[in-house]
Amino acid sequence: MGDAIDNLGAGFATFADPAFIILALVGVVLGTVVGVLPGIGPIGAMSVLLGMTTQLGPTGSLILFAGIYFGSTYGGSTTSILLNVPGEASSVVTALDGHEMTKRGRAGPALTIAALSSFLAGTIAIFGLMMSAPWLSGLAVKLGPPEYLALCVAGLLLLAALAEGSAAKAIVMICAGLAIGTVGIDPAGGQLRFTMGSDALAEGFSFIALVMGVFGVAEALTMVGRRWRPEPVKAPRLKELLPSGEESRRAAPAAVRGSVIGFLLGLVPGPAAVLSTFASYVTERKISKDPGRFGKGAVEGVAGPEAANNAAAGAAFVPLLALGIPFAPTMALVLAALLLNGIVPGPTFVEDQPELFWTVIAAMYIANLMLLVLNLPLVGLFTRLLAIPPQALMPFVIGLCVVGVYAENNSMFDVVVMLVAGLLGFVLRRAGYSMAPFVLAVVLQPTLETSLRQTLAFSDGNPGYVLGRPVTMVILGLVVLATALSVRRALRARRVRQNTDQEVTV
Amino acid sequence: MSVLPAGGRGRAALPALLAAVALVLAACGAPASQAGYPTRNVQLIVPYPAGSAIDATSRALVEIVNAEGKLGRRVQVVNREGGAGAVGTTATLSAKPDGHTIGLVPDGPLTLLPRTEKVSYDPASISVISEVTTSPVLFVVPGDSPYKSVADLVTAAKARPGTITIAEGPLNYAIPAQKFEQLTGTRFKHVKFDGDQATVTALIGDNVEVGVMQLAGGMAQLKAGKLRALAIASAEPIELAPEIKTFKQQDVALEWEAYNVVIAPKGLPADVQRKLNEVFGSAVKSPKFAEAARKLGLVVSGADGEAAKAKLAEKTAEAANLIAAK
Repeated sequence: MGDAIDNLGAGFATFADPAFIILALVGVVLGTVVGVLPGIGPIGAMSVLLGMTTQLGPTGSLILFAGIYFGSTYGGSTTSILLNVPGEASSVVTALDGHEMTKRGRAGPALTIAALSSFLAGTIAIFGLMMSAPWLSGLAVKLGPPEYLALCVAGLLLLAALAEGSAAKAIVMICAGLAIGTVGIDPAGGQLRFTMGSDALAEGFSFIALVMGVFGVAEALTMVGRRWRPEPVKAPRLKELLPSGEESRRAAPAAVRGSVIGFLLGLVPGPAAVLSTFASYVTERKISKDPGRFGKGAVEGVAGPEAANNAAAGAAFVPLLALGIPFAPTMALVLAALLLNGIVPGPTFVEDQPELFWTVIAAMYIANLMLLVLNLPLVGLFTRLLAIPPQALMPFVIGLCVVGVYAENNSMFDVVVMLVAGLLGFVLRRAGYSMAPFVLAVVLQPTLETSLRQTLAFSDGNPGYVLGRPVTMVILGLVVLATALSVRRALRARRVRQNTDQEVTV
Repeated sequence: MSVLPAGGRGRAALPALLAAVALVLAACGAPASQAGYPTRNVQLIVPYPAGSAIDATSRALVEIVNAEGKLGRRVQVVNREGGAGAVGTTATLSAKPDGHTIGLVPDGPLTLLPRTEKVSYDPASISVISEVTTSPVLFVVPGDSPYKSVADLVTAAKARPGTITIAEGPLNYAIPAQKFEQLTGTRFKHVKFDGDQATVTALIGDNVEVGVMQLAGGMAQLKAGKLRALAIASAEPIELAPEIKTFKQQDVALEWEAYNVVIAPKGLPADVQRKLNEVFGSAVKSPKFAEAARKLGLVVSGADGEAAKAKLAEKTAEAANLIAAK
């Protein structure tokens, strides 16, 4: 521990180089911008900058990329809360209560809480990374196909439990998402499936296009269709940005719990940031004394998931730095930047490159602090967006979606996919189908399929193989428990349906 | 070097500007006959996502091409992933053969994929500009595995046929794994993994016993002793990792390598082809690229367009035999 503090001190000393501070600043600003803009994510920003990494050197590249990554998770929540258009997939859950808070005139506090929770989680995650990198990644790597399979099943069932309203409708959307996910190249065998001979479908439906469609476009259509009451949206004064005492009291413990959940899930390969937000949301609602407030602007529903996705972002560096294995596409880019600089992160990285490792940790601290300082004043600016009538703002949102989706692959086909998904999403939402299960099913489909097929190959169809793995059994046990709880909830809901017949449609 | 006006203003000035560009290029030492090419930046399509090994290779190469400046314009990397490389390869080969769209592709979409998939390009009708890197395939086991050599593995596989798990994935791994079984009279339990990273994770976590991969995918873990290479499918031990024995040295006649080539659509004008050959040939042979490739765990290839084309044809023929024999 004393060593860690000495090393960290040395890391901060290296970081004092003004060039690095400027790089961190560029990184967080760029990250926030791509996070706010739907469609353009950290992956796009990093891949454009990858060519520069040899000039920047390993330390500079890591500082820049860490800034972008953290910045994007901060920025992604802003549009979720204000416009119900998640800037990133990891901000989908934030929209549930965050946008509800906006509708109730609490946009300022929602944004402030999101920023503060992100900061808290970032700090906790960095501390966790510092203390536990080697040990935890050794544990995570033991997870084999059956564990991934169990995690995916758990993720989807958690989601069915999460979806308000009809569980049957949630399951329909999960199945639709899984089906959509199978289009394109088969993840393990390399065969093309359901492409109808089209090259455009060979890579499958673009995830960005689907998400922008069912959230961005569908939301814009809904908003434009709604009659807009020209409420006098004043530019919020500083006081209005601050959460009330009551809100702070509820948010703080939720943010701590979210940080822990996010950090632990962030160590797991796959779409951990997305999964962690859902897990945190469900947890908050389960332990709340008054679960009825969720979906109606509960601050815990903003603080928990926002903390979770930032903690997961920090935790994602653990397997990369300790094992040289990227568990997420963004981490693959960080790896590429290191490789191009002649640094091969691996099991001996921390020992071989202590200076680099600790400088990166220091950079993460500074990036988080910079984001907090940058974002709090910007909250006021973003809130002003609300003064624009939806009829004027929404075409702009759709335009942003079109540009973002087109920019991802330079493909008009993706734009068409987005518009069709948007129309379908609009219609389905009106029919009470929620879109979050659909989106998560699309994200999890490749992992689910690959791990299912690998599990079957390993086991030769013998269930003993799965039953003999304790971690799988624990996860599956939790799945059974969650299913039982949601069945009970469904039964109870049926009893009181007349009174509380309200559906939160994501 | 943005000389041409972006908008429609001054259309009459265009010929004059073109002439000026030609003059500038001539002044840069380009032969007059090549002044027409390139008239704009050249797009280099990479059929795998940003962050993949081939993407890192491409960006390292392109940086050298741009730094050398022999082309007169910049080369830009465009990632068109999907379809096991088929999407980017299609995009490259269906472009206009004027040298402004080229691709840096692995051999798989040209030699193997057309055997098993319907692809919308003819893998034989291409212009090959240069081979870039090669990477022989390795058999790898966890550092604490009981198998120390190919002989150990064969003995164990004969003792319990069909139970030792082997992680493979794309055809460039599946085929050598199959060939190994044919050559040694063994049978393994094949599990498909999605790339080298997934295989490395599974090996380190003891979730699979043997992995087929490229050196680039497991270098750090091999050096740290978390993984052990049983054999490499190259003709000779390679300079990057001389301690790894070849299959041949262990009496198994298995040779298999994956390699990356720069290609363009068929029918490039002769002067364009010559220029691209020269530009990429010189970048591939530069010490700077050798350094970048060494760091990535790839072997720089010296093969020029003609030699690379012959090699592609040879591998296609061999793959045809193996896949038919299945």
